[in-house]
Amino acid sequence: MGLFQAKVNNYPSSISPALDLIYGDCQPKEMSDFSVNLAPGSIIRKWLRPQIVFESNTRIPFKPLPFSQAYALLEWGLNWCLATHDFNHLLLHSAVLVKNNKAILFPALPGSGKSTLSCWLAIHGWKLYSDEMAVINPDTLTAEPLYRPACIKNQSIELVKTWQPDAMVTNVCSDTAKGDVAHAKFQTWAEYSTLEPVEIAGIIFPKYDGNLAEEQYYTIAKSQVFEELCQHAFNYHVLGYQAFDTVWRLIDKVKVFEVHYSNLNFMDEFLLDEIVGYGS
Amino acid sequence: MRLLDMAHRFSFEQLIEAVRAPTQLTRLSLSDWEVLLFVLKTARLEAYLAFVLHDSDTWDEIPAQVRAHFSAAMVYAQRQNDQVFHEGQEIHELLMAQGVVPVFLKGAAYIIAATKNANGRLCSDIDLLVKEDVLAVSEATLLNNFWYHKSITDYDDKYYREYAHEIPPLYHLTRGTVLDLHHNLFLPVSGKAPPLEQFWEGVVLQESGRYTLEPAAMFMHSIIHLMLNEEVVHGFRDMVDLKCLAEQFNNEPFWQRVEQLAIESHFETELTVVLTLLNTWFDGNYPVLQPVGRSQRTKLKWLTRIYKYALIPDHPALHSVRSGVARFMVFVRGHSIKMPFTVLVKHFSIKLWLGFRNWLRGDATADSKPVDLGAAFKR
Repeated sequence: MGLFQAKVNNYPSSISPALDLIYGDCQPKEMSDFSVNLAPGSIIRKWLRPQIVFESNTRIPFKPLPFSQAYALLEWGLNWCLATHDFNHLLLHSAVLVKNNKAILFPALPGSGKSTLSCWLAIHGWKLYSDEMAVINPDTLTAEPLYRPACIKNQSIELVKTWQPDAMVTNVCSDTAKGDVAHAKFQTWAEYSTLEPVEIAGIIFPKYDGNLAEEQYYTIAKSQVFEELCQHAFNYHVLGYQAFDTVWRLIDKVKVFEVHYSNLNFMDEFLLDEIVGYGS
Repeated sequence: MRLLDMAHRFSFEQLIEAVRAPTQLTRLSLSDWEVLLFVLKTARLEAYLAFVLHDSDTWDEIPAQVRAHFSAAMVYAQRQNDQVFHEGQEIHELLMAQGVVPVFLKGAAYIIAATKNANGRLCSDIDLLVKEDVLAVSEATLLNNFWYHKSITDYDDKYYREYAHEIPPLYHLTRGTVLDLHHNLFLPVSGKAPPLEQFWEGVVLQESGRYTLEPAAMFMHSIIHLMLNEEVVHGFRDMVDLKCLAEQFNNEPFWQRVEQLAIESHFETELTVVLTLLNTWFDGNYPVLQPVGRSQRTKLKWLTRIYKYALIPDHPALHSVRSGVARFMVFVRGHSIKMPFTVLVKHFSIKLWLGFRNWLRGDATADSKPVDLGAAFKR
C-alpha cells in the first residue's frame, strides 16, 4: 500500500490476476505492517453459496461475503486495517488529488461521484494520492500518498474504460453492497515511488448532478466545514484533541468550496483557477 | 503489498523474554519485529510494551517502522485510558448519589489506581463491584441514566441472573461503553465464590476519588479471574498484570495479605500456580506456599504445567498441539469449577446446539463479543 505493507498469507486463486495487476509491481519492504487472510467460510459454505472471510492478524472484522466479491473484500479489509491501526495520522474519508505540488481533498459521501471524479482527474494529469482515505500528517498538514487503487462503481466502470481504453481495471464484482464494483489504478509503482507528501491547499465537497444547466460553487462557513470533516474522519475519536487541533489548523489554512457540477472539464479548470494555480 | 508464505514462527520464550527484558529487543531484525508485533497485538500487549520502551533509553534505537506501530498503539491506549477514567467518574457519581459504593475492578481499577501496568492497559469493558443488597438499585440507576441491556437470549439472561456473579452487560447508549456489574468475584452457583467481607474491608479510596480493591485483593482477584475462567484468551496479558502488581507492591505485608485472602477464599492452589509461573518466567523471587501432602503436590504440578501451555497467546505463529490441548483442559476445568455437574450438562448442551447452528450458517461473528471498548470503528 506504499505507506504500509500488508502480507496476504492465503487467498483464493481467483483473485490472483487482480492482485497482480494492482500490487504486482510493489517493491517489498523487509517488514510488513499487516498480516491478512482471505479464507473460505464454513465447510458447508464451500459448496453451497460459497463465502469468503477477511481476517487480519486473527481478527475477523466483517461478516462473510459471497465468494465472487473476494477482491473487493480485500480492498475494504485493507481500508479497515489502516483506519483501525494508524493513529499517527488523521485519516479522513476522502479522495486526495495533487497537481503542481498542491493537494486537494475531496471528502464526500458515497454516491456523490467522488471516485468517478478522482479517476477522471487522475487520467487528466493529476496524481491520485488516494481515492478512499486522506492520510494527513498532523504536524506538517501534508497529505501522504498511498499505493491503493480507486474503487469505481456501476456506470463509472464503463466511463473509466472509455476515457482511458488501456486503464488498469480489475474484473467487476457484481451485486456488492455498493452495486457493481471494480478497482482501477492510474500509476505504476515506479511512478508512485517518486511521490512525496504534499501540502494541502484546498478542500472540495463535490456534488455531481447530470441535469445541471450551469455549474455552481459556494463557499462554506468554517464551522460547517469543521463539522463535515469530523464526520468524515475515521479516527477522530481516538486522536481526540490532536484531531480537533489538526482539523482546525487545516481549515484555517486552505480554501474550501462546495461545487455542484455536471461537466468534468469545468471541475479541472475550477481547481486550477481557484486553488492550485497553473504552477511553473 | 507483497505476497508471502505463512508468517514465520516465533517461540513463546521469545515473547516472555520481550516482557522480561524489553531493552534487549533493539537487537531484533525487522522480520523478528514483524512477528513480535503481530503476536503482541493479539495478546493485547503492544501498547504495554510501547510505554515500557518509550520510557526507556532504547526508544531511539528501535526502527522507525516499528516505532510507528508502538506510537499508534500508545495513542489508542491513552485514549481508552482517558475514556475509562471519565466513564468511571460518571458511574461513581451516579451510584454514590444513591448511597452505593462502586468498586472498580481489573483494567478500570489499574487505570484508576495508576498501577505500574496501567499505561497501555486495554480493557474490553469496565468491571464494577457493588454489594449484593444494592445490586437492584444500582442496575435501576444505570438503566435510568443512558445505560441499557442489549437483547440476549432468554437462556443467557437466566444464566446471568441465576448462576453468575454479574448481571448481563450494560451498554452506554451514546458511547457504546460496556459495563459489567458484579455482586461477587466468582459465580455463586459454583459454591466457590469467595466470602467477600475481607475483600470489602480493604477497599481503598484512590487519589482520583474512586474506589478500588486494595493491592493485595486486586492481585488475588486477578488470579481468581485468570485461574477459574474457562477461557484464557488474554491470559498472558493477565500474567503481565500480575507481574507488574507483584513488582510494584513487593513487600512483606503485601504478601501476607495476599496469602491471607487466598486462604480465606480457598484459592491457595491458584495462588501457588501463578507465583510459580511468575518466578520461572520473569525471574521473580516471590514466596510460594508449599503444598501439603502428595496429592496436593501432584495436583499443583499438573496445574502449573497445563497453565504454562494454556497461557501461550492464541496466535498462529505460536500454535502448538500442547497449547491447544492445555487450553481445552482449562476449558473443561473452568466449566467443571463453575457449575455443579447437572447444571453443567444442561448449560453445555444448550451452548453446543447454538454454536453448531452458527457454525452451520458459516457465521463466525454471530456469537462474538465486542472486542473494543466503545462503539469505535462502526464503519
